[in-house]
Amino acid sequence: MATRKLLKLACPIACAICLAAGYASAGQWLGVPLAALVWAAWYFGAKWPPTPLLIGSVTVAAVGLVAGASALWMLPGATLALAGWDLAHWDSFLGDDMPAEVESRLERKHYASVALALVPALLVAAAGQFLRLQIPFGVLVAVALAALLGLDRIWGWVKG
Amino acid sequence: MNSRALALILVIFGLLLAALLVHQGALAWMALPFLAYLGVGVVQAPARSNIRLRAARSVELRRGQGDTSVDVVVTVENQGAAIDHLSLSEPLQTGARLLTGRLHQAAALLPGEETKLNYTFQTVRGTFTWKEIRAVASDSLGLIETEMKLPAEARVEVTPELRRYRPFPLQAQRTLPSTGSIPARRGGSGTNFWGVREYHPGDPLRRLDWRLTARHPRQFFTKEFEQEAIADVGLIVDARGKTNLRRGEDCLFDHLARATAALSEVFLRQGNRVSMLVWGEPLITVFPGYGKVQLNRILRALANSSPASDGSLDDLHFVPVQMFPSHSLIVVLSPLASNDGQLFPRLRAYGYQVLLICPDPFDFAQIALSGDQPTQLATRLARLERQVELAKVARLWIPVIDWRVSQPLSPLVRQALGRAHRQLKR
Repeated sequence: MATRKLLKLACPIACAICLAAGYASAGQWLGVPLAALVWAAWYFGAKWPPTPLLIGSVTVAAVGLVAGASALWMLPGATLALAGWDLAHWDSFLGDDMPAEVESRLERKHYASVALALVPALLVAAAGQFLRLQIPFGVLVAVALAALLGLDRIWGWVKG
Repeated sequence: MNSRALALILVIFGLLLAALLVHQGALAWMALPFLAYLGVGVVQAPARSNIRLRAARSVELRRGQGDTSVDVVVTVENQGAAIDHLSLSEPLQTGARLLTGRLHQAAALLPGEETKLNYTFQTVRGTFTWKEIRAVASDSLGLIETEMKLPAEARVEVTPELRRYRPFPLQAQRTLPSTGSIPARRGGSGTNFWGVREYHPGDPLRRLDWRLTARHPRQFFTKEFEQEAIADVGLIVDARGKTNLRRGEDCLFDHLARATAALSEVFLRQGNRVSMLVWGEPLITVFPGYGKVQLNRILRALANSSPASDGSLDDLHFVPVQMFPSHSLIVVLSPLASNDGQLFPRLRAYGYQVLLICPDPFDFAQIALSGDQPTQLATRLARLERQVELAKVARLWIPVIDWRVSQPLSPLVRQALGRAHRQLKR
């Protein structure tokens, strides 16, 4: 439980630091108090539903990107906001009186899944900043249509 | 898919839309961790066909002082593929107060493993029925959920607390032709002297009145004793929503139910034939009967009844009194609302002997009432109105017990019946 509480506290702090560093690196000093506000919202709004906090944090990160902040700061910022959101839900799901054995087993499985999802995605997204791909619009539409039409087959394959 | 997954989709689409609008690829890349998170959830979600869970419920009842605690254990066994994230939950039933444990249990189950949802609740009375338990299996991120209702049936009846009163000195207008404890006002075998009559062949010799016989030559006299028989007792319990008051977890009807249980127990122990009508929604009737079986019927009926409001049953005037045998002793247990007084002339007109036990709703609600002047004035007026109603009932030669539920009822009933007996004698 201690790890869970620690991570729940650390993720919004790390998110706010990343956002503040991103804004500061672009010289957008107005964004620094905005990042502090993000942390304050996570900290003081612990009892609120975490989804608005996630949307707020991602919006701040997206605005920073548009304003010229470095994606290498903003991407981890948004990802850490997602981790914080996940931990907030996870904490309320487990509660405080879960048997220790069950709790540690569930936690191990959960953290492994979160790490499996976020770490490679963050690395790929960071690498993507250095990739420059030009895809024609027609090809893009064709790929999107194929994905849409094949979605149920993919779903069936995954479930099967 | 739950609200969390929908929130993620919203963020992903928002970022992609923003990327298109501002022509910035970095925004689209920002959606990737969200997409991966959602993707892991989708991939890990268990297929419905692979989920095979079996639930079994055991319920144990423990009686305490004044209330009962019920231990509920639901065991869920995984007979299918591994489930990363299983959530079991069920609502707390009406009239129950959670003592220990939780109504929600999370678990991760490998094939063949089992988990238990264990809790204890406290209650004073009621019938509790469970049919199923809600189980939600999902991926370890809790995004794609499969909800199931697992059959786990159980039923438990918690009857009201049964207080044992000493037998009451009942004086019934009419008794039944069976030996009991109520003076029948006719000669026969008993303990109290009733009178002397001329000897009839077959009278036992030990009953001969030798002194009188000695004074009258060639004539014999037999002593008679007052027969002791049983009577018909009917109980009318008011379970209307409008007369039931609730003070936190305590409700006035629970006091009425306890009083009814105790009275029916003592009347049945005295050998009487007892019937009961619970006037509420649903209308519950227990037809006349004797002994422990009848007591169980009454207790079960009281456990099943709960105060409820229904327009058609709002007026006590329409109580079907014909279900009670004629000349029964009818005990009405009701806090009485306005116009309820109409029932009593009707009962007297049918020839019933009536006793009214009227719990004081103002005394019950005293703690909840604010001390400001308008409330105090309104309470005083309502109290006066109630006293007028009770006085009207008392004028019909009906003993009225104005019962503060914090007081013991037994001495009040004894006193009221004694008073009625003295009035009858006069």
